[in-house]
Amino acid sequence: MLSRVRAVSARKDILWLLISRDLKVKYANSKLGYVWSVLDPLLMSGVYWFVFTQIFSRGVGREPYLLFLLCGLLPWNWASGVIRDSARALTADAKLVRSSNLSREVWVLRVVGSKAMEFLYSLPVLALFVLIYRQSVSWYVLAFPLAMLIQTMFLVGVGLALAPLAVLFADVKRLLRIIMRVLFYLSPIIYGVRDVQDRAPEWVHNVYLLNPLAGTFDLYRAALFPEFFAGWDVVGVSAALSLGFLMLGLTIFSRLEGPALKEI
Amino acid sequence: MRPVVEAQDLGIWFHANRRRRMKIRDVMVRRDAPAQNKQFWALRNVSFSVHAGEAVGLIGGNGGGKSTLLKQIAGVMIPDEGKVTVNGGVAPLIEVTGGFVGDLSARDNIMLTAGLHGLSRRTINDKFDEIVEFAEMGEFLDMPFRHLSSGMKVRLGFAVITTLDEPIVLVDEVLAVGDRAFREKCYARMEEMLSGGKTLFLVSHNETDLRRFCTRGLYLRRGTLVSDGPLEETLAQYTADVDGRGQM
Repeated sequence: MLSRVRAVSARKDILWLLISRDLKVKYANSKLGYVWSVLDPLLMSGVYWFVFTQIFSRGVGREPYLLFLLCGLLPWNWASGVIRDSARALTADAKLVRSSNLSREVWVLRVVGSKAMEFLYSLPVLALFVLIYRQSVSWYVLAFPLAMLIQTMFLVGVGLALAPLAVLFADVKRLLRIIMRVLFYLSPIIYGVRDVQDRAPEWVHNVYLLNPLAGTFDLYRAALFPEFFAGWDVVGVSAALSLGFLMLGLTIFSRLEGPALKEI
Repeated sequence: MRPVVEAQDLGIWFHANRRRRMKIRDVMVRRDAPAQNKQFWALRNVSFSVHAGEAVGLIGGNGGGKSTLLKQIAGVMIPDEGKVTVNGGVAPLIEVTGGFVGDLSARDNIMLTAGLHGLSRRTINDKFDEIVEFAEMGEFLDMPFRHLSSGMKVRLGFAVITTLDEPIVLVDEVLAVGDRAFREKCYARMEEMLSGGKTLFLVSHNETDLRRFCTRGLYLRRGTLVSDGPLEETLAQYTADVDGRGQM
């Protein structure tokens, strides 16, 4: 496994090239490219803000709720993008996969990487809203890269598992659509981890933390809502689980790589 | 001397009678498992070793396993049995247009694809003009790749891949496309590469091409290596086989 990691890092220039190609295709072709990548989280934030403040009376999260939502929706957009696209990581550029002998993990890393870049590009929008709401930024903002690292580990693991599975099994993509919807509501996006702690029985909270995105999203959010931070133990659980997913993904990928290559 | 490419008991199988992809249910419920598990060997017990500077032609009818063998050498398919050891970089002229993106210009595509195959930015800049000139891109350089004619696409692919300075070159019938003038240029470039001491694997059904470049032949029939020897002998055996059986 270590030798494979080394093989990938030896070709990281190529990974960078693929990521910049993705961004180029996405942003160079339409002037709206950038707008598209932030439109979805912005629109959804608006919708949830409307539903939970104008129709229901908001009992979860914190004020300003729109900002609270964006803190969860932007990283969620990254996660969902990776889960959706890594199912086609090996097939989208099948010809290229078939004709170059790069370490094939690269095709998954490229998806995680280009979605991570889009996430970074969307942060100015978040900053804009911070300015509009005159929200103060806490020291937890320094942990932002750590949260990104944990999320990257998780997404690489999931992506490595999904890419060959989606090639071998036709219904993985259909299954994913369901899993994504479930995962959305089971991640602290429209509410916070603290809400789960305060409202649900302890065992529910414990089960809830099995979602590696829980501690990760909470850590992002702590930058703007420090009093709502659920604690480093929650982050620790997410980090450990994410590492586990990464190991699992690496194992699955190396096992299924051969069979998957025959099918593309 | 250490061989450049060495195959030992190489084997790979595919599912013979299966839908393109399984459903998860097929794995859970194993009721028709025996019928599903039928497999055929696209290559089996293939062993050979090729030394630096050799030019090897892969001969055989359709479905013989020539392209599959080439893919194993290129490292884009993983064998189920045995192994193939490749000492040195490979320039694969297989699906040469694979790395190109339709929406980007030919110029961007050259930069990206050459980089993907391992050329550094400096080398690409140095060789850029050479690639453009060889592919005869001219005024089409800034046109979206999608709008190029299919011949032009292949020309560009060929130009980029042959710029890779790798010791092993794999060619899978790309010579069949392109107009006559361009084909002559391709031939010239391949001869240049061969005289530069590169090792060549060529898949072709064209005996003239095979005779022109190759000195050694590997004759594959239904996944087994029938003969390995001087090109003329293997070609003769292949021809005799085809004539003897009506068709292969």
